[in-house]
Amino acid sequence: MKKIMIMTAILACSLFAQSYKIEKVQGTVKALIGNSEQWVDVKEGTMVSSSTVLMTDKNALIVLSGRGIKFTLKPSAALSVNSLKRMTIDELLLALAMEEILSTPAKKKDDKSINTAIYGTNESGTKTAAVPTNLLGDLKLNGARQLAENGFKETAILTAKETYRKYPDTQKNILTRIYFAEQMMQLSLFDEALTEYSQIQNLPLNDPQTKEVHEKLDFLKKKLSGM
Amino acid sequence: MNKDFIFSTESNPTNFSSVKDLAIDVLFGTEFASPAASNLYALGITKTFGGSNIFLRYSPGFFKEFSLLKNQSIVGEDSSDISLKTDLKYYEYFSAGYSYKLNEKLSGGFTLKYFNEEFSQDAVGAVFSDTSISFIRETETETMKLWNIQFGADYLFTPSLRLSLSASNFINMKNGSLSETNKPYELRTPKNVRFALYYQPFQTVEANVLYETANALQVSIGKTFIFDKMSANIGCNYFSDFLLSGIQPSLSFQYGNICAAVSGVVYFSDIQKTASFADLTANGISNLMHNKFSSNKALLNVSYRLNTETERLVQFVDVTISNSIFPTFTEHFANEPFAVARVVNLSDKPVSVKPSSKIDKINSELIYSPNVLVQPKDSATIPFYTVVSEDYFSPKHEISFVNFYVTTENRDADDEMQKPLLINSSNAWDGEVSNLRYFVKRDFNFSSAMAKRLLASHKSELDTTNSALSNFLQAKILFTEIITGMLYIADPLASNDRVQFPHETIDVKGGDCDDLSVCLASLYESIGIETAFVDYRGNDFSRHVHLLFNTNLSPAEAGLITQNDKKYYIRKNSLGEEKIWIPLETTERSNFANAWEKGVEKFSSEALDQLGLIKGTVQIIEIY
Repeated sequence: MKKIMIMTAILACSLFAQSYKIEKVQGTVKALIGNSEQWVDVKEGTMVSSSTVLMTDKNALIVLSGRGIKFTLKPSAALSVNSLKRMTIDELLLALAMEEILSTPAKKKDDKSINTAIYGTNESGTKTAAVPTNLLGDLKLNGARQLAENGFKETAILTAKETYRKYPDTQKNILTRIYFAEQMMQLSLFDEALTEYSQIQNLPLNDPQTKEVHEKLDFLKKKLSGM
Repeated sequence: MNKDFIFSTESNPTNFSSVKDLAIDVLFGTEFASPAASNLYALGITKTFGGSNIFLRYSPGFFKEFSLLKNQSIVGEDSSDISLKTDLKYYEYFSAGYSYKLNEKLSGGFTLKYFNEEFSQDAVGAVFSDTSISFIRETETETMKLWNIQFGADYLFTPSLRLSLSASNFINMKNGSLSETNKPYELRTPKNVRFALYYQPFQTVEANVLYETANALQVSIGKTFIFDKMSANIGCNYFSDFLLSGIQPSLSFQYGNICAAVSGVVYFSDIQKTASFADLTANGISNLMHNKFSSNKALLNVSYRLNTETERLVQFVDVTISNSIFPTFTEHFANEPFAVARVVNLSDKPVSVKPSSKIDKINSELIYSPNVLVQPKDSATIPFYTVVSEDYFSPKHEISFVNFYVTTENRDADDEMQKPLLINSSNAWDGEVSNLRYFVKRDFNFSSAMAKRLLASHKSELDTTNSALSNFLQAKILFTEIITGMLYIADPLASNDRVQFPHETIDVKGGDCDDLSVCLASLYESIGIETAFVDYRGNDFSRHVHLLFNTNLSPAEAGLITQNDKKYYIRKNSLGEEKIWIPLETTERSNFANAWEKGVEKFSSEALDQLGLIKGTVQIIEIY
């Protein structure tokens, strides 16, 4: 209890830097603030900064407002408050390109031998995640989907791409990937959509999904070739 | 070549020479008179010394003889008639020339010719005896020696256009006297000014026009064919002095140092096979090889050019030092030229230039840069690269010098130039974060030993840790052991141009951001942990650097080190595998966790949120 009180106090102390007000909390809603390693409870009436990640439990929701935006995060979702912002297509393209730059492989040959000083499979030092990482990835994709449904398609796409990278298991979520690929098409990001659908077609699709993905690929290829 | 042997302009009055060193010429000729007469016409040698050229020629075949019968005869003892005659002999025994090249465009010179004239007149002499008088033939001989001087100058407007201007017979020296009888036959020496234009519209085509005030004209054209190891030239002269005209077709071959030319002289005008007193008295002789009594000729000229001296094919125009030397950047100047030279090709053929340099105190031998092809008479920019020995160390700046060389097909350098060069201290840095890698590498042996010694003291902790966390844990231990507790010490000169080597940072227990980042990167890399510098460039030209390192964890293993996905970044390695990299702000020396958080804050804010990676204000630089 004392710990929770301390974290709440920390949350309250950083009010001045926050931009969004928590209007309503229903059920269990947690927050990960800044670079903290601890998820803390969220209270109505407090302010959260853009460096905060919010997570709703099943049957929970949170309403926050600020900067002329009122957003409801529905159950079983996670959202970085930083995603609640309008982006232009150009800004989105720049952000996507930047992710590419960041993840560009090093030029050298990866022929360095693995350090042999430490080996073995001792798991005694393994930490236990407070939220299983694959679950958090799914929650983040849910949050991204809610962003798109509320008109924040650009940040939704950016969030989805980042989630795929940081939580690789989410890359297998076919329905979600098709959903965000469709969002890319709606924003006329045909190159990006083509790349996405090309990766999706390698996943174990059912027949209707295969048909849909092939149709989209054909359309995009024609579109990009100017036909 | 043709114009040098025939015509009233057979000589080369200005002694203009393209011979680089030494040439020997032999000229044979056959005159199609009756009977045909073959002779060694001339033997010549020319030698160039720097800007001077000397020419000597012995010409036993340059002569003309006439034997004219008088209308007088005497009766011999056997009652036969003995005709009286007049013999006229003209010889050009030798000639000599000298020229001096004042500069690349202008040269001047003169030619000195030595002639000998010998006139023999038969006369009737009376011999008296006691009882009779008899008549005998007596021959009276007179000689005249003539020194003929020609002088002039040549001007090259361009390498393919030359004007030659010369004068002859303005200065003559005679030795001897002639009687009134022989005076009319004396070699004529009319004052003459000669204009000649030599033009090379294409590399293999040449055309010449020549005019003399003594009423002579010559036009010639030639074409050269270049083959693999030899060349051939075909050409033709037309010449006329308005009394006598003809052509001289020629064909020559050059193979290595040997050149052979065959030419013929064909006169269009009527040639007088015999001379009369009246002809010689009226017109005289002014040219021994070309006059109205000459016959068609065939000439063979063999030339051997000896090149005992290195022919300079290229030379420096200038060398610009573009960078002072940072000795710790051992391989940097193998990719980035430290100097750039402008080099001109002096020859008439494409030349492959091999540049090399040697920096005093830095290089123990010549360092060669890539060859550069320079077109004929063209210039090219040539970069000079170098490498610095890893053994070189100097704690202070010093002025040295560098010798630059350009070499072609010759064994020795065609040209060389020396320039002063600043060699910075071994701690000097040019401010480019990418070059910090050289400081990382320099102390690798030290860093490796240090890292292993420190990790050995944490053996039990490392042995009981999940092997996937190996990189992360080792990085954390080394940070804690080395960086924690260090002092932040700015550069002594309040500038960013000095970087400490890792052992220096550890010795003095402190440094600035680049010192600390270099030190940590060296320790990490020495035990196989990949690192990258993050270079932050502020609008006020301020710079900051910190470190990223590869935990070697996959994204799925992120939960082993953090619950917060904002604290790491996914980067692919060269195999396409995605790995977790985390930033460390090395100036945050309190502990590893704080350094990590500070690194995340700065990187997320400036590199990602503010799009620094796109705008170029933030750059990730792989150390290897």
